[in-house]
Amino acid sequence: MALFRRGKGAAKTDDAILAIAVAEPLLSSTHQMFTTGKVGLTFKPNDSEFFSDLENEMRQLLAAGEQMTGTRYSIVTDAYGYRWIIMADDQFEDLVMAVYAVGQSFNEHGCRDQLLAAVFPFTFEGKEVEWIYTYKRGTFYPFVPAPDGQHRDNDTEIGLSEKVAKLLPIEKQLAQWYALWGVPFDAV
Amino acid sequence: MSTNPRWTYGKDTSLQLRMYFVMFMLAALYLFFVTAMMALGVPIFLVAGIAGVMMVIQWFGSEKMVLRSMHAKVVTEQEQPKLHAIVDKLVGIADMPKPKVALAITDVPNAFASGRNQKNALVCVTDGLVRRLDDDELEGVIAHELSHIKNGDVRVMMLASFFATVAAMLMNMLMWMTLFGGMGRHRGGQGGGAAAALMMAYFLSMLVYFVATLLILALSRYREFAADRGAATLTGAPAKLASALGKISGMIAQIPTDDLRKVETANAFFIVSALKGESMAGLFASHPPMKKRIARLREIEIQMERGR
Repeated sequence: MALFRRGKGAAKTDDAILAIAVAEPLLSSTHQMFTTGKVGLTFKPNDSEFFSDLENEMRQLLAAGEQMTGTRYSIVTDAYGYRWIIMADDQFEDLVMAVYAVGQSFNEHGCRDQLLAAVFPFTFEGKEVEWIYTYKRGTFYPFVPAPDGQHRDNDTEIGLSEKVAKLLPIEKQLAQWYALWGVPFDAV
Repeated sequence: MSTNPRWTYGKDTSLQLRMYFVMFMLAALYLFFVTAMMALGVPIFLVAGIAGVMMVIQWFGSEKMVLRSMHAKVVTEQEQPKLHAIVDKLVGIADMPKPKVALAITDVPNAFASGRNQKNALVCVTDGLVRRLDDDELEGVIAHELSHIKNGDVRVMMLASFFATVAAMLMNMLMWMTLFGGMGRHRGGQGGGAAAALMMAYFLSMLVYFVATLLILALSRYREFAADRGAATLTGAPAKLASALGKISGMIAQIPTDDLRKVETANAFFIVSALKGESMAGLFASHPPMKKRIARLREIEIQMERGR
């Protein structure tokens, strides 16, 4: 009875992402790691008809979410041509559910491969810690950019990944811990 | 094992030849550098004097600086009985004075040695290392650091980099001098010959600095191999150091700094990640690649088994 899907192949559902909603109270109470109340979800847009359908549905979904739970959002395109949905909400569960719902509509439209990652920014000991969930692998890993914006604080990353190993499905292959520099969290 | 004289494995003639060759090249380069600077009328001895004072300060203050920069502190036998037991055992076999033992509180698995001579030496490990390695592996890593102390590597590397430091200082000075010299010429309308000499000296220092850095890095890599070999002889268990290296390289070295979006885009265009220019990285690395070190340790292990 596996609680989270941690298979070697590509994950088919993203139930694993829900783990961060469960983990968040413990992250703040026992590890002094606090959410910034935002999340970024990024995907590669393409020109297909399916995709414009999907984007329409997604915008409706986000607008409905804004009405119901007060989850503010903004959509921006970055220098890599990736699109970002940046969302902000004081209720962390609402953020996770919104990300999950967007992921579901990608799944339903058969556009799962376009999804790259969801990034949950936290603060820890004055540092910016981003928990990155990648859709290809269905796992989380930490990304702690150094103040110079060019290096990573590997020390903190490894330490944190060991601390929260029981709370989150952590990516075991460190070579897959790719950075995501300059997520446009200020967009919302 | 004790019937075998330790030093039978301690020599790697080809490694030593390469080490001497690099040191010879460095000496030749530095001699050329000093002569050329004198010919160009640069006050090279003044600069070398300043660098010398800096080196002496570093020489005597190195321990405190190193400890502070690594957030490490010297630990007593009561605080870290296991570390002290390992060091005691190894210095006994190596027949060397016991260095100070320090522990750095960080998750990064690492270890280093420091000190200008055997009497003032220090060996430091991080608690990330202690937590991840078993006792035999830890012994292998500490034996590697003790070998650095025994081989006088801190001293060798400091001396080797002395003139590279001089060249770097000169580069900075000359840059300013050519700037001001240029201004002077503008006003006075003379001194073109002196300015050309300064320019020449500037490019020469840059070249010497570059070549010296490559040679120093090569020397550093050779000394790492030598310390691995030293550790293998001290512990009699090269496989343990090899497995420790495997564990360490499994952590930090693997975490990329590349952006996920860049990698995804690259994958889409079928660019093989093997095109990362590893041979270049090797040329500029102070430590040899883990794979090579582990392979050499396996060779030593086979040699040892034959000798048994």
